[in-house]
Amino acid sequence: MEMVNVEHLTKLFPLRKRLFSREKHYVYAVDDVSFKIEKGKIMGLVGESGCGKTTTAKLLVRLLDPTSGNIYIKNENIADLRGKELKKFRKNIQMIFQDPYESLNPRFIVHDTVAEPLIAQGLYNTEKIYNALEVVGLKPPEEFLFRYSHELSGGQRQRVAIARALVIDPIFVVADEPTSMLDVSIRADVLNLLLALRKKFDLTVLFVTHDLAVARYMCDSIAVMYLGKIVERGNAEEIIKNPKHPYTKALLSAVPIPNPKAKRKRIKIGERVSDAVNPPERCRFYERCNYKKDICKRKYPKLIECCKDHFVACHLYG
Amino acid sequence: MDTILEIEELEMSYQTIKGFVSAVDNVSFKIMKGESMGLVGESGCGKTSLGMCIMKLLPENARIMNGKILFDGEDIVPKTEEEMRKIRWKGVSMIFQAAMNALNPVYRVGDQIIEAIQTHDNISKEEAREKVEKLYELVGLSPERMKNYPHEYSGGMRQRAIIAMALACDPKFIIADEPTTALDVIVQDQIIDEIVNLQKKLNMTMMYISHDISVIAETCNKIGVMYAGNIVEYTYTSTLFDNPLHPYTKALMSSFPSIEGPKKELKPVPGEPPNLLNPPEGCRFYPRCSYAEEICKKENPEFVEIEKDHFLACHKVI
Repeated sequence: MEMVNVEHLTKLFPLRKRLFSREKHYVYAVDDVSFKIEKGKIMGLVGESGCGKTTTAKLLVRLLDPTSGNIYIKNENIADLRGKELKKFRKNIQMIFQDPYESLNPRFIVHDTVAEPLIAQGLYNTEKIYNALEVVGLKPPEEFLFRYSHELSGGQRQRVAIARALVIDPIFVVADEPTSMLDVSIRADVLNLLLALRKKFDLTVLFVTHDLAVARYMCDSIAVMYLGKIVERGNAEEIIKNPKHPYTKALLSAVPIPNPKAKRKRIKIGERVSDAVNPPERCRFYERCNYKKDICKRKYPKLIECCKDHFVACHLYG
Repeated sequence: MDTILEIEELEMSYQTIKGFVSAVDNVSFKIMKGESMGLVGESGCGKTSLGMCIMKLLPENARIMNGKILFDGEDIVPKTEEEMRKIRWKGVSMIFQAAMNALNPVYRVGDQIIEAIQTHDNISKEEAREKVEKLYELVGLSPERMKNYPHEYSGGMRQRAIIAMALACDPKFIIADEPTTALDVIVQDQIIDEIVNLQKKLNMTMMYISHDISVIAETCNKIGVMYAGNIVEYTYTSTLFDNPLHPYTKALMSSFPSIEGPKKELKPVPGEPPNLLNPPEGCRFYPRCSYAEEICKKENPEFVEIEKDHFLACHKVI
């Protein structure tokens, strides 16, 4: 069953208009992005910084309003929800933020932090708070309830952030780089916790990360983003083992391997030159691509299915 | 081969209102000429502090309590600031972590490097300029960019400029402190490639500090694993990966996801790193160690050579 279905999602940020200039300039942060996530699956969204990953994540939880496009969650379109209806719907989708040092209010004790979504929805219930803390491994909950966030370690903070997201029984969770601020030995712990919680509650997760190795470990499917567009998506193992798009190939070839004997072949591509301000019709990756053809300059390639459940947006295929 | 750097029982603490934080404790190792040593560990384990000890760029509240730092056979611990200034940059230089903060935003990048050269070498501005031009070509930057300001550079270019600056006075020894941490995967890969090539080309001796064991695996021929101020294992990269002996090294390796080979489950290290204000008695890793025994609680294991060129601090393996 599809839990999340995103169709032609677009978000433009206007740049400040110059005095006397008529044309408006826009940053195409997310440009015509479509994907689906099945119930109980984790989809990874990967790409370099500035490619639109976090904007997509924020659009899905409606922290930003989309310029156009539809977001269906459980067959309900939430892209145009406003006011009371939106607030009511918010209990179904929750977000885990990147930096637990900033996403927790330093004046709140753990209880207040975790209780907040419940209070906002009028569902306050002490038992739920206890359960949520226990589920994320902060045991016994009594010991943590009255601590401030500065009294917690990085790993514990991120657990509190996860408890806050789960306390309200969401059906869809957006995790925006939840482990990039954590240390190696603690990171593995939090990743395993997220996997266990997914299994336990049959959660649907969008996992935003820049780390392909983490994406491979966590996700069932992966979507690769480049300058606001999804250039490739499909089954996680398939994308890692058999990448099609020149950008995905280059990205994978740049990941260092924790094994001194593994000799990897580097694919050399140039540094990024174009940005997402009023991009021309051509392929966004054109300047850096090693396989560019004439047609790449004229037309943006459509996302086509090159083999089963593997989509790629490149003129080299199809 | 000549020893270029030898550290003997180095101990460094930071004085805080709550007491002494022992950031580097009983560290001994040697680096030979032409070698590249990787120093890997979690944040707060003392990697950067150790690097700063060698540069003697310590903040005012830091004290070197004990030990020797023999650089080219000379102990630099008792040296005055005036004497250190002669060694810095010509003897030991450093590639700093945050390239954005390491450059002065109101001076042209080229001028900053020229200034660094003129401070240490008695040469004319024209000669210095020619030297910087050569350095720019060496690190893969166009010499025309010398007249640009730091904000006109991309992240990767800034890091290249910092590398050029570190090489400016032909140092005998370079410390690279997380030179790629803030960069995107592809740019990170290019910079690593550059550093490895330069190291070979100039036969540089290098210490590469990173939290990412996979980056170290690709750049260095020796690895030192650091935990809570101690170096717990130090040997050749290939030996360490084939035959890791310290429980922390093993744990660190199994908590890293990889894009190579079959998907493996990550095994996190239980617990959190100790508070160095009052580190645990005995071995600092014992509270998290699954092999811990009575003796580990009481005695700090000695750092000994158990095979040729394989140093280890653990009771269990001895």
